[in-house]
Amino acid sequence: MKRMKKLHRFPVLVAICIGIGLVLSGMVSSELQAAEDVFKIGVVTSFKMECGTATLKAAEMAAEEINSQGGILGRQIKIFSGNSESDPEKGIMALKRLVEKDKVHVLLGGASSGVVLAQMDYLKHYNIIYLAVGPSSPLIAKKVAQNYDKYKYEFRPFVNALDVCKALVGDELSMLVKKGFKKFAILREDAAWNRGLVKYIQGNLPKVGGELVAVVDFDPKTIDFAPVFSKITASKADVAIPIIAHSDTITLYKQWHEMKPPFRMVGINNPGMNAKYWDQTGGACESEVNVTWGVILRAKITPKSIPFFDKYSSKYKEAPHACGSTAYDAVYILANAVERAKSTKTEDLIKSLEDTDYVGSSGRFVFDKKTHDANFGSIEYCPLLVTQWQEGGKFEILLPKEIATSEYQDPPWLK
Amino acid sequence: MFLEILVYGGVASAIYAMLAIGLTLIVGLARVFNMAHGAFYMLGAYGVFSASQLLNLPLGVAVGLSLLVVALIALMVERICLRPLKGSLEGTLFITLILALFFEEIIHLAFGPAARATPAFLSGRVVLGGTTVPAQRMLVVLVSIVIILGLWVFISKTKIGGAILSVSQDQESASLMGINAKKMIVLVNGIAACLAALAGILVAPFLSSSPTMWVMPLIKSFTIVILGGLGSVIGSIMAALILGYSETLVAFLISPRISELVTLIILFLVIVLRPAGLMGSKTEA
Repeated sequence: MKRMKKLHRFPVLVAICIGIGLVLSGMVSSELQAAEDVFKIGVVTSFKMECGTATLKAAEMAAEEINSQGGILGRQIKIFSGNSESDPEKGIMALKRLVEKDKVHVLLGGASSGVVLAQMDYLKHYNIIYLAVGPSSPLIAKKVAQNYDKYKYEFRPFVNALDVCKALVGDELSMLVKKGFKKFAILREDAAWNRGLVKYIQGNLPKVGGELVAVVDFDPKTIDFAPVFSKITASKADVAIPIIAHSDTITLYKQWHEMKPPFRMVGINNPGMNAKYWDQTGGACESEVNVTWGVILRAKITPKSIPFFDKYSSKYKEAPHACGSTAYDAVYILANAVERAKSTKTEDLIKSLEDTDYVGSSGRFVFDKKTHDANFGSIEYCPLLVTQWQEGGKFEILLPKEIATSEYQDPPWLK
Repeated sequence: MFLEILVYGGVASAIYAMLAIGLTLIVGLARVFNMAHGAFYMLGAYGVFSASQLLNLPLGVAVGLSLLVVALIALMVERICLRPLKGSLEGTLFITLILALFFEEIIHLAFGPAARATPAFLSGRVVLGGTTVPAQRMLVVLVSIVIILGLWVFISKTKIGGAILSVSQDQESASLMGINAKKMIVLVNGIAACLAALAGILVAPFLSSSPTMWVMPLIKSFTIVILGGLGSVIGSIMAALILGYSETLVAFLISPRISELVTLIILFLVIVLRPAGLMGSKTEA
């Protein structure tokens, strides 16, 4: 009798197993179906930096727009994120998680050069494209050019620090020389990205009539700039050239404004590349001159610049960072490359990206085929803007003259 | 240059002294290495920024409110996290470090990664023998001197101060004399947190406030406490002057890039050569 009962149970158990199997296989197949329908972009960057948070926000905004227009080759874009925390080791971990666990198709982000340089060694292994937004080290382009086969996966729709240097000396500093300020002192944070720049400025400043009288290095963790200002004042420089990307420049400018030393601040201040900077410094950035790029203020660089600025500002209640507009453009560049290649295969995409000629919000993007750097620095491509904060919190463009909105003004205590 | 070093070294020493005195009092009294001490400095700075800039409260009210909130947080930390651990060195080190990181994340989430600017309490500049110093920095020195002197009078001349000293020397004997050691520990935790918060409030106008601003001051405070001798207020003041002036000398005369190395070199030398510190006895080490 017992045996009969067991036999009766057998078909029930089989039926349950088959049922579970069907449900599971259905789930798996629907998941596979979903994966096929989705184009995954992994945003790997440092969310401890404004560049990183802006990259993610702008990439999501671009993805929403593209999805509302039907997606890429009919596939919806889905954004995944990984936090590198500006640490190469954590950046590699985040990259691995995005590729292995989230199965992203393309990577975007970077924020810091040190992190991207470390991550680049993993791209060939994973056969994945990386659109670097945020890092500006010339070494990135050098690596691609020197070992194309290994590093061809990296494209930079962002500025190379050498282009910034050319604009710094050729446009920004020569503008100051023409106004009679000839003695310059470099104020450099000690970081990988700007090591070669001092030599460049030293070699090229005399060509525009300037003289380099001091180089003052400081630790990026510095919060008291009194000794730095003392050294620059002692050098009798008319102008200090900050070359800064990772330090706390809000404190730097607050102390400059508070101490009112006898020199101007005209250089590269990456943390200052956003329209919130006036409020962040409590107005202490007044008279600061900076080389900038991307859409950080409401200016018509291309027909897409102002619509991007307005939409981003309205959506996130803040003006975009330079990494924001370039990340936004990067997603469109990618979509454009996929549409042209009619493929999402890495090899096809590399070829298609190399043929990019796309007008985004930050300018016209064309990649150098050897270095995979976008062409930055001229009004025909992605222009570099010389900007100045002026009285009352007005954020003005001084150069290029085609889109200039104001003339250079001296700090109030030097007028 | 000499006057600049004298003035800016004085400013750095004053901040360090305010931070380290509170820490050394806690170490002396409760034998607790409070890693959240730097976080109280950060919370003080963000407190005055929030109250004055976001709530638009008058500056005096903002300072008072910030101190009150930090003191309450410190008392909660003492009651909920430290007291149950009954002085376990590993336990208190670990939990206060977690708390410091927790406060950093909260500040990061609430205010974002960028530094926040608090306007100067005193605008203008003071000319001292040809050296121009922002008035806000002179305020730091003056307030620190007043606070440290006041604390010295409180500890050495009042009954409660005497009770604190008794507990720091021998908790059991103090209890036998009818002193409530627990109350003294609570009081000293409150005072220490207020000193750290006040240092944060005073530097906020010229050093700004950022989510990671607690790390270096904490390292420096511990260096000073170790250099001065655990639990010694006078030792901490001397050590703060040594550290403040050493850093300033290196920054002005050699390079600002290596000034942070001074702390680490001093810490290393003290641990190797004189682990008891300047004012500590060998048995304390």
